[in-house]
Amino acid sequence: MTWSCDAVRPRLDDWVEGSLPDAERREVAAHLESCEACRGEAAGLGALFSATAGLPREIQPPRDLWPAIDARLDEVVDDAGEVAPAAVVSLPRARSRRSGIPRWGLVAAALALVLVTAVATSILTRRWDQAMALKLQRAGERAPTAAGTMNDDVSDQEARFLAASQELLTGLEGQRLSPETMAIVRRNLEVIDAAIAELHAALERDPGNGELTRMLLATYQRKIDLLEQAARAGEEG
Amino acid sequence: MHATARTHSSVPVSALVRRAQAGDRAAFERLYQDHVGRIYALCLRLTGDPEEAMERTQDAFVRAWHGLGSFRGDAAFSTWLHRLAVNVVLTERRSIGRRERRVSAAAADVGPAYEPAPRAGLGVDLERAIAGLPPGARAVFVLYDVEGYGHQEIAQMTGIAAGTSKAQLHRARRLLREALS
Repeated sequence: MTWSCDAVRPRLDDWVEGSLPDAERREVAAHLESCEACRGEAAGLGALFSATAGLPREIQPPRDLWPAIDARLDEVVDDAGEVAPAAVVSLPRARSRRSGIPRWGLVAAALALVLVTAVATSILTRRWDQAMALKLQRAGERAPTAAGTMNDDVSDQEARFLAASQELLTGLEGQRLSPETMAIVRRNLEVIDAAIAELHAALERDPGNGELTRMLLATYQRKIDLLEQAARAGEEG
Repeated sequence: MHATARTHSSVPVSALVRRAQAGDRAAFERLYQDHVGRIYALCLRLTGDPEEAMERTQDAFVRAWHGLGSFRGDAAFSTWLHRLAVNVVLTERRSIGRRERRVSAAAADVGPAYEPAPRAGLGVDLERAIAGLPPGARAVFVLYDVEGYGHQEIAQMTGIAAGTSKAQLHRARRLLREALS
């Protein structure tokens, strides 16, 4: 007795693909000899497979994507695949020098000193941080509403990040970093601070968005990491 | 259609990859030119939307640039890049799904968002029909029937069980046959 349509239909995909065991393949074939409906199903599957095989392997995008890709190649991607703000550049590894000079007093005599630039950078950045701290304070003073304020937990964390970055910036002022290193630090801080500002704006539009909040705190952490790295670069001279 | 002609590099891919791994952007651009058609086709069929496909294509190449250090040459570069692009699209689709569920109850099952370029009849209909599949069925159909991945691989990439992958494929094929009949 041959198989019924109910037994054959679920196996038609595998039959058309040729992946059925021999015994089942023979049963399906026997059924198809006498069942026009199932033959039609099998033929339809075959036509679909043929059409799929005929799909173009490549499709060119409507526009050249390379300029946009090229502009993003300086992005930093962490292990989780998260992308840091564009163009955060790694600091050059400084040569290690053991001199016995206390941490904030290390001076690399062979390096050019651009104190004004360094101080100006940190002053500008501290002004931004101070503005953000004031904004947080004012946000905390307002009565919480359904839209527009971050929760206390995040505000506390952000305040701690701001305090840490201000402390690190103050420490950087006392260091003598090369102009090249300071240029990298300054540029990276601008990029990170711009990203923080964008995330704040996005959170104002979508308050309580956990993903945005997580990104904001992660970006603050990157700022801390950068400043600590700069401090180490100055320390190692 | 786009203005940039696709070029095939006369330099072996392996040499371009080595140069790109050393930071040679021009070499990476040539890799982009050689592979963008394949990657965009994949992203377009997985997403069903040209704009999103272009975004994911960009993401894939940026991720590839940063991940070149981990490419050891055990597989072909095209295979490695292709797999990376699949992960980029699927990861983003999961994020989109979470955002859409937060915003509204009407989530991911959206109809086709693009019209394929005019080509011979059944091919155009099929591309349109693929774009109209529900996202889960579309992903499995594209990965299995179009791109040749197995159900175990699809299960690993998508986080679904291999049995679910088979069921989604069966559903996709049934819906496509109905759409094309």
